[in-house]
Amino acid sequence: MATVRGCNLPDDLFYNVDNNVWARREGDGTLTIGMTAYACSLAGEIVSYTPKKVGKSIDQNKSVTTVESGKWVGPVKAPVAGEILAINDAVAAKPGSINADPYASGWLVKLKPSNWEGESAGLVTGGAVATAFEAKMNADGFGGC
Amino acid sequence: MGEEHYLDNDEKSVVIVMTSGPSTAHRCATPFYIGSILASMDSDVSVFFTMEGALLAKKGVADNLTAMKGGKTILEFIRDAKIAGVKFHLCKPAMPGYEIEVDDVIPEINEISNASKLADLILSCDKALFF
Repeated sequence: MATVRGCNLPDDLFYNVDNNVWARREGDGTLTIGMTAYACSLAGEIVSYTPKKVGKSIDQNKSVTTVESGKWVGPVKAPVAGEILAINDAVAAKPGSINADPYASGWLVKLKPSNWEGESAGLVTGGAVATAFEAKMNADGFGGC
Repeated sequence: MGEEHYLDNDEKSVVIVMTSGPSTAHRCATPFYIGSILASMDSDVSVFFTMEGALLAKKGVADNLTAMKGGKTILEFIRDAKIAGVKFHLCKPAMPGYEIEVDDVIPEINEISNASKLADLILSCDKALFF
Protein backbone atom coordinates (compact mmCIF):
# COMPACT_ATOMS: atom_id res chain seq x y z
CA MET A 1 0.00 0.00 0.00
CA ALA A 2 1.38 3.37 -1.01
CA THR A 3 0.15 6.42 0.86
CA VAL A 4 0.72 9.79 -0.77
CA ARG A 5 -0.38 12.96 1.03
CA GLY A 6 -2.84 10.94 3.07
CA CYS A 7 -4.36 9.18 0.05
CA ASN A 8 -4.24 5.39 0.02
CA LEU A 9 -3.06 4.02 -3.33
CA PRO A 10 -2.67 0.21 -3.20
CA ASP A 11 0.42 -0.68 -5.19
CA ASP A 12 -0.94 -4.02 -6.40
CA LEU A 13 -3.41 -2.18 -8.65
CA PHE A 14 -2.83 -0.74 -12.13
CA TYR A 15 -3.39 3.00 -12.51
CA ASN A 16 -3.97 5.51 -15.23
CA VAL A 17 -2.55 8.37 -13.19
CA ASP A 18 -3.78 11.20 -15.43
CA ASN A 19 -7.34 9.88 -15.31
CA ASN A 20 -7.13 8.99 -11.60
CA VAL A 21 -8.57 5.52 -12.16
CA TRP A 22 -7.46 2.08 -11.02
CA ALA A 23 -7.86 -1.46 -12.36
CA ARG A 24 -7.50 -4.74 -10.47
CA ARG A 25 -6.76 -7.82 -12.55
CA GLU A 26 -8.79 -10.71 -11.19
CA GLY A 27 -7.82 -14.38 -11.36
CA ASP A 28 -10.00 -15.00 -14.40
CA GLY A 29 -8.40 -12.17 -16.38
CA THR A 30 -11.30 -9.75 -15.96
CA LEU A 31 -10.80 -6.30 -14.47
CA THR A 32 -12.44 -4.38 -11.67
CA ILE A 33 -12.34 -0.60 -12.23
CA GLY A 34 -12.70 2.25 -9.76
CA MET A 35 -11.79 5.77 -8.73
CA THR A 36 -8.70 6.44 -6.64
CA ALA A 37 -8.95 7.87 -3.15
CA TYR A 38 -7.35 10.97 -4.64
CA ALA A 39 -10.11 11.29 -7.23
CA CYS A 40 -12.72 10.81 -4.51
CA SER A 41 -11.14 13.57 -2.45
CA LEU A 42 -11.16 15.94 -5.41
CA ALA A 43 -14.78 15.15 -6.25
CA GLY A 44 -16.20 15.34 -2.75
CA GLU A 45 -19.21 13.28 -1.69
CA ILE A 46 -20.50 11.48 -4.77
CA VAL A 47 -24.27 11.61 -5.17
CA SER A 48 -24.85 10.06 -8.59
CA TYR A 49 -23.45 7.09 -10.50
CA THR A 50 -24.50 6.44 -14.10
CA PRO A 51 -22.55 3.57 -15.66
CA LYS A 52 -22.69 2.40 -19.24
CA LYS A 53 -24.82 -0.65 -19.91
CA VAL A 54 -23.53 -4.19 -19.36
CA GLY A 55 -22.41 -5.60 -22.70
CA LYS A 56 -21.23 -2.28 -24.09
CA SER A 57 -17.73 -2.15 -25.57
CA ILE A 58 -15.67 0.77 -24.33
CA ASP A 59 -12.54 2.15 -25.97
CA GLN A 60 -9.51 2.93 -23.84
CA ASN A 61 -9.87 6.36 -22.15
CA LYS A 62 -13.60 6.53 -22.86
CA SER A 63 -16.12 6.81 -20.07
CA VAL A 64 -17.36 3.72 -18.26
CA THR A 65 -19.50 5.76 -15.90
CA THR A 66 -20.41 9.33 -15.11
CA VAL A 67 -20.27 10.43 -11.48
CA GLU A 68 -21.60 13.59 -9.90
CA SER A 69 -20.94 15.26 -6.60
CA GLY A 70 -22.40 18.47 -5.33
CA LYS A 71 -19.52 20.40 -6.83
CA TRP A 72 -18.34 18.37 -9.81
CA VAL A 73 -19.46 16.08 -12.61
CA GLY A 74 -17.16 13.99 -14.73
CA PRO A 75 -16.36 10.73 -16.43
CA VAL A 76 -14.43 7.78 -15.09
CA LYS A 77 -12.39 6.59 -18.03
CA ALA A 78 -11.52 3.02 -18.92
CA PRO A 79 -7.80 2.38 -18.30
CA VAL A 80 -7.90 -0.20 -21.09
CA ALA A 81 -10.48 -1.09 -23.72
CA GLY A 82 -13.00 -3.80 -23.01
CA GLU A 83 -16.58 -4.93 -22.57
CA ILE A 84 -18.57 -4.05 -19.49
CA LEU A 85 -19.42 -7.25 -17.63
CA ALA A 86 -21.06 -5.83 -14.51
CA ILE A 87 -22.10 -2.62 -12.85
CA ASN A 88 -22.37 -2.05 -9.12
CA ASP A 89 -25.99 -2.01 -7.96
CA ALA A 90 -24.95 -1.30 -4.38
CA VAL A 91 -23.14 1.84 -5.52
CA ALA A 92 -26.15 2.86 -7.59
CA ALA A 93 -28.26 2.64 -4.45
CA LYS A 94 -25.67 4.46 -2.33
CA PRO A 95 -23.16 6.42 -4.44
CA GLY A 96 -21.38 7.69 -1.33
CA SER A 97 -19.92 4.22 -0.90
CA ILE A 98 -17.48 5.16 -3.68
CA ASN A 99 -15.92 7.69 -1.29
CA ALA A 100 -16.19 5.40 1.72
CA ASP A 101 -14.53 2.36 0.14
CA PRO A 102 -13.05 3.23 -3.27
CA TYR A 103 -10.93 0.09 -3.68
CA ALA A 104 -13.40 -2.56 -2.53
CA SER A 105 -17.19 -2.18 -2.23
CA GLY A 106 -17.05 1.14 -4.11
CA TRP A 107 -15.89 -0.42 -7.40
CA LEU A 108 -17.55 1.02 -10.50
CA VAL A 109 -17.58 -1.59 -13.29
CA LYS A 110 -16.20 -5.01 -14.14
CA LEU A 111 -14.53 -5.13 -17.53
CA LYS A 112 -13.45 -7.89 -19.92
CA PRO A 113 -10.30 -6.39 -21.44
CA SER A 114 -9.87 -6.70 -25.20
CA ASN A 115 -6.13 -5.97 -25.32
CA TRP A 116 -4.72 -6.18 -21.82
CA GLU A 117 -1.22 -7.14 -22.89
CA GLY A 118 -0.96 -4.28 -25.35
CA GLU A 119 -2.60 -1.53 -23.32
CA SER A 120 -1.61 -2.34 -19.75
CA ALA A 121 1.99 -1.39 -20.45
CA GLY A 122 0.94 2.24 -20.19
CA LEU A 123 -0.45 1.81 -16.68
CA VAL A 124 1.48 2.41 -13.47
CA THR A 125 1.80 -0.27 -10.80
CA GLY A 126 4.02 -1.45 -7.96
CA GLY A 127 6.90 0.72 -6.84
CA ALA A 128 6.17 3.42 -9.43
CA VAL A 129 2.76 4.29 -7.97
CA ALA A 130 3.81 6.64 -5.18
CA THR A 131 6.24 8.62 -7.35
CA ALA A 132 3.72 9.02 -10.16
CA PHE A 133 0.94 10.27 -7.89
CA GLU A 134 3.26 12.57 -5.96
CA ALA A 135 4.16 14.20 -9.29
CA LYS A 136 0.50 14.50 -10.26
CA MET A 137 -0.46 16.00 -6.91
CA ASN A 138 2.36 18.49 -7.25
CA ALA A 139 1.19 19.47 -10.72
CA ASP A 140 -2.42 19.73 -9.53
CA GLY A 141 -1.52 21.71 -6.42
CA PHE A 142 -3.34 19.12 -4.33
CA GLY A 143 -3.10 19.51 -0.57
CA GLY A 144 -4.00 15.97 0.47
CA CYS A 145 -6.82 13.56 1.23
CA MET B 1 -34.64 7.58 -12.98
CA GLY B 2 -36.66 4.42 -12.96
CA GLU B 3 -35.60 0.88 -12.27
CA GLU B 4 -32.78 1.06 -14.78
CA HIS B 5 -29.91 3.20 -13.61
CA TYR B 6 -27.44 2.50 -16.39
CA LEU B 7 -26.79 4.44 -19.56
CA ASP B 8 -28.14 2.69 -22.65
CA ASN B 9 -27.59 4.87 -25.68
CA ASP B 10 -25.09 5.65 -28.36
CA GLU B 11 -23.02 8.77 -28.05
CA LYS B 12 -24.56 11.86 -29.63
CA SER B 13 -23.48 15.26 -30.80
CA VAL B 14 -25.11 18.11 -28.92
CA VAL B 15 -25.00 21.85 -29.42
CA ILE B 16 -25.99 24.13 -26.55
CA VAL B 17 -26.90 27.63 -27.69
CA MET B 18 -26.19 29.92 -24.76
CA THR B 19 -28.16 33.14 -25.07
CA SER B 20 -28.59 33.87 -21.35
CA GLY B 21 -26.17 36.26 -19.73
CA PRO B 22 -25.54 38.42 -16.67
CA SER B 23 -29.06 39.86 -16.57
CA THR B 24 -30.41 36.34 -15.94
CA ALA B 25 -27.58 34.89 -13.88
CA HIS B 26 -29.82 32.14 -12.48
CA ARG B 27 -29.93 30.66 -16.01
CA CYS B 28 -26.18 30.58 -16.50
CA ALA B 29 -24.91 27.55 -14.57
CA THR B 30 -27.13 24.62 -15.55
CA PRO B 31 -26.32 24.73 -19.28
CA PHE B 32 -22.64 24.18 -18.50
CA TYR B 33 -23.43 21.48 -15.94
CA ILE B 34 -25.58 19.51 -18.36
CA GLY B 35 -22.89 20.04 -20.97
CA SER B 36 -20.37 18.52 -18.57
CA ILE B 37 -22.60 15.52 -17.98
CA LEU B 38 -23.17 14.97 -21.70
CA ALA B 39 -19.46 15.23 -22.43
CA SER B 40 -18.72 12.86 -19.56
CA MET B 41 -21.02 10.39 -21.30
CA ASP B 42 -18.79 10.72 -24.39
CA SER B 43 -21.15 12.94 -26.35
CA ASP B 44 -19.56 15.54 -28.60
CA VAL B 45 -20.70 18.79 -26.99
CA SER B 46 -20.34 22.34 -28.26
CA VAL B 47 -21.53 25.49 -26.52
CA PHE B 48 -22.15 28.50 -28.74
CA PHE B 49 -22.23 31.82 -26.88
CA THR B 50 -24.47 34.30 -28.64
CA MET B 51 -26.79 37.24 -27.89
CA GLU B 52 -26.30 38.25 -24.22
CA GLY B 53 -24.57 34.93 -23.58
CA ALA B 54 -21.59 36.34 -25.45
CA LEU B 55 -20.84 38.46 -22.38
CA LEU B 56 -20.01 35.29 -20.42
CA ALA B 57 -16.98 34.93 -22.67
CA LYS B 58 -15.69 38.39 -21.74
CA LYS B 59 -12.94 38.50 -19.13
CA GLY B 60 -14.18 39.69 -15.76
CA VAL B 61 -17.83 38.71 -16.28
CA ALA B 62 -18.25 34.98 -15.58
CA ASP B 63 -15.73 35.04 -12.72
CA ASN B 64 -17.89 37.63 -10.95
CA LEU B 65 -21.23 35.93 -11.56
CA THR B 66 -23.05 33.15 -9.71
CA ALA B 67 -26.37 31.47 -10.45
CA MET B 68 -27.09 31.08 -6.76
CA LYS B 69 -26.00 33.08 -3.76
CA GLY B 70 -22.80 31.56 -2.42
CA GLY B 71 -22.53 29.10 -5.30
CA LYS B 72 -19.70 28.41 -7.70
CA THR B 73 -18.92 31.13 -10.18
CA ILE B 74 -20.09 30.70 -13.76
CA LEU B 75 -16.45 30.66 -14.82
CA GLU B 76 -15.91 27.61 -12.62
CA PHE B 77 -18.84 25.89 -14.35
CA ILE B 78 -17.33 26.82 -17.71
CA ARG B 79 -13.95 25.43 -16.69
CA ASP B 80 -15.46 22.18 -15.40
CA ALA B 81 -17.23 21.76 -18.73
CA LYS B 82 -14.01 22.45 -20.58
CA ILE B 83 -12.22 19.76 -18.55
CA ALA B 84 -15.05 17.33 -19.35
CA GLY B 85 -14.46 17.93 -23.05
CA VAL B 86 -16.95 20.61 -24.02
CA LYS B 87 -15.90 22.92 -26.87
CA PHE B 88 -16.73 26.61 -26.76
CA HIS B 89 -17.59 28.94 -29.63
CA LEU B 90 -18.10 32.69 -29.31
CA CYS B 91 -20.39 34.40 -31.79
CA LYS B 92 -18.29 36.85 -33.76
CA PRO B 93 -21.26 38.99 -34.92
CA ALA B 94 -22.32 39.49 -31.28
CA MET B 95 -18.97 40.89 -30.19
CA PRO B 96 -19.22 44.52 -31.37
CA GLY B 97 -22.66 45.07 -29.82
CA TYR B 98 -21.42 43.86 -26.44
CA GLU B 99 -18.11 45.69 -26.80
CA ILE B 100 -16.01 42.55 -26.70
CA GLU B 101 -12.57 42.75 -28.30
CA VAL B 102 -10.55 39.65 -29.17
CA ASP B 103 -8.15 40.44 -26.33
CA ASP B 104 -11.10 40.48 -23.89
CA VAL B 105 -12.07 36.85 -24.58
CA ILE B 106 -11.51 34.24 -21.86
CA PRO B 107 -8.96 31.57 -22.82
CA GLU B 108 -11.54 28.81 -22.43
CA ILE B 109 -13.07 29.79 -25.79
CA ASN B 110 -11.92 27.41 -28.51
CA GLU B 111 -13.04 29.45 -31.47
CA ILE B 112 -14.54 32.80 -32.41
CA SER B 113 -17.10 31.71 -34.97
CA ASN B 114 -19.42 33.23 -37.51
CA ALA B 115 -23.16 32.62 -37.48
CA SER B 116 -22.72 30.14 -40.30
CA LYS B 117 -20.80 27.94 -37.87
CA LEU B 118 -23.77 27.95 -35.52
CA ALA B 119 -26.05 27.06 -38.42
CA ASP B 120 -23.73 24.21 -39.37
CA LEU B 121 -23.60 22.94 -35.78
CA ILE B 122 -27.39 22.99 -35.51
CA LEU B 123 -27.92 21.23 -38.83
CA SER B 124 -25.33 18.55 -38.17
CA CYS B 125 -25.93 17.76 -34.50
CA ASP B 126 -28.24 15.15 -32.97
CA LYS B 127 -29.64 17.49 -30.31
CA ALA B 128 -29.77 21.25 -30.02
CA LEU B 129 -30.55 22.88 -26.67
CA PHE B 130 -31.29 26.56 -26.18
CA PHE B 131 -30.78 28.35 -22.89
